[in-house]
Amino acid sequence: MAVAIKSDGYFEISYSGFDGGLNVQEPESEIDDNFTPAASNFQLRNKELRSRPSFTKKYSGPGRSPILGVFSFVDANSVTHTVCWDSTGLWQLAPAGQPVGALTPWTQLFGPNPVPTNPISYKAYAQTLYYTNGGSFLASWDGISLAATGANSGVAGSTSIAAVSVADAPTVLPGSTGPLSIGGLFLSELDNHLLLANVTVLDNGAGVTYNFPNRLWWSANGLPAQWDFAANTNAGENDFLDVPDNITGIITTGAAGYLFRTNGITFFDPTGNGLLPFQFDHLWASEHGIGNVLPWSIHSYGSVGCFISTEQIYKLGISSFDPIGGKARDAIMADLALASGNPIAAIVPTESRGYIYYTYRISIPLATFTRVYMYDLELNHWLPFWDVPGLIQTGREEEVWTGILQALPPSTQPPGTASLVGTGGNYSQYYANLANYYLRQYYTQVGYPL
Amino acid sequence: MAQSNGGVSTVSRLTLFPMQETAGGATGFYAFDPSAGYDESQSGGFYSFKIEEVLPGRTPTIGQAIIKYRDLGVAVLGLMFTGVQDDQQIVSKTVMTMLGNLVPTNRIMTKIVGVGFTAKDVQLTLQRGAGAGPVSIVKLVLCGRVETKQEFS
Repeated sequence: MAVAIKSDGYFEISYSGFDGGLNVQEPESEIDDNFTPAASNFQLRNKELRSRPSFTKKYSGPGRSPILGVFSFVDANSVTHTVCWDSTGLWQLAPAGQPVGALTPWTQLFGPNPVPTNPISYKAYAQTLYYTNGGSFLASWDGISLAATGANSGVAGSTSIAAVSVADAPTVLPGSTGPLSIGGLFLSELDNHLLLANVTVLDNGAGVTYNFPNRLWWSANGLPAQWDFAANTNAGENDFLDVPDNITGIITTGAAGYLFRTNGITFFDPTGNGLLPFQFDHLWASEHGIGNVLPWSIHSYGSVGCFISTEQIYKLGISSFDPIGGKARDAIMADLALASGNPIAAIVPTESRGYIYYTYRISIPLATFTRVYMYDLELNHWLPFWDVPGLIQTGREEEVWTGILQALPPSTQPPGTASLVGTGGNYSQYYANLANYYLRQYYTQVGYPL
Repeated sequence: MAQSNGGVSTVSRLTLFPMQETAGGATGFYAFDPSAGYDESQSGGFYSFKIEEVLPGRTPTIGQAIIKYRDLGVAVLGLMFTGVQDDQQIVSKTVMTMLGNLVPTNRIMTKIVGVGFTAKDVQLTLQRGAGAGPVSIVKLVLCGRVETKQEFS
């Protein structure tokens, strides 16, 4: 907006309605008033320019190896569990016998040792937690048993829930002796099939590991422990040998799924045919094209998914496919090029209960700190946060139940809400107190008993 | 059915970030926790506005800044002005101001800050130090004067 100058030379420059976010792709003198050419640790909250919430330590980790993820799920008793992973296995928050909110309230649930450098890929299915992260295992925990397990009770000698017996191993994987233990870099679910993508198979008998970076392997419908398509033809696998690259992620939106490669995306959906439960369509399968280049940048929330390609950041929905890097893209890409570890992204609707901040956030480890680029999915802008110096993010952030009752202070709430005298609108606690004060004075004057 | 092994109550929910300290390797779960307020104690922040030309070729003077803000508590805010002189040297001036009340009212308030900064291509950057208090700006107006007559020969 041009500056208004009066004839005597007096001028005013006004900034308000903050909703533009970061703009590094136009000269600093030519950007719109509501953009910023550089910022850190400010957020645009209800069009106010606000210092971001404090980045606060809530719990110590269970050990000293990097935490690979955190998640909450509900078991068959309708009890909610919050779990995390490190390279030693699965841990649970506030287990029975320990006080909620204790400084290190983690108890080990063991299970297979995850790959120490990969964030965990997890899924809750039929009141059971399943997880993997690039090793030759798919593990589970039902919230009831004392420990997580990587064993399939129907396949002797296996070290994964996804397993194939000795009898069927040569059919499923020619040349193998079995039993086979199957894992993957990514885990998802569609139409009651668990899905493993970018697959690793351990031939337990021969001690040989096979990698299938362009393979999708699915369990039988409703049978998460049945992955042997020689025993149940509803299980199966598909090698995408017609494309030149590896699988780098998978998201499902309930009705369909997207399989991401470095240079392409493959759409798939259920057919209803037991022998061929999915049909696959490459959106493109060229040598170079839009794909997901950072394995843990891809994340979905409901029908919305986001990912990072070589040249852009994209949001996809059921009927849309939109670039969202906007005028912050070059800054994000420059930091991604300098990442000292795995960049990790997530779509998170709230920071805590009652505090909505629906954002796709990309966390980029930069040697001695982590920069987080926040994309507001409602207002469509980016702003960078710089969390506490000396901290590196090691797993995907996740909205989890913590079991600690908290009350938000008035400053975090819209005026007039979240209080007993609130009107749900623009009538603040301050005015309510003021009115109450004068009422009490009046009643005292007229002798009304209080 | 067997009893569950542990569990958490579903009265409180947080987005937890798995983090590791670069020095020593200690691990922990962190959150951008609004219940802890907007006063980050370990990291400062800044927000730059666009570079203002005001009038091409002229040299404006910023006399004062009018800050309309929400009172979330006491905060110290730095207003750093940078600009360019005719000899192509960059000049700057920082004015510190205090906003808000000890007991936050959550009300919108106005603070007028004297500036006195003369340069071309003026740019304002708000600076908030670590632990300097919560800041929430609703509107910011820069007032000044500029020579409107022709300066060039």
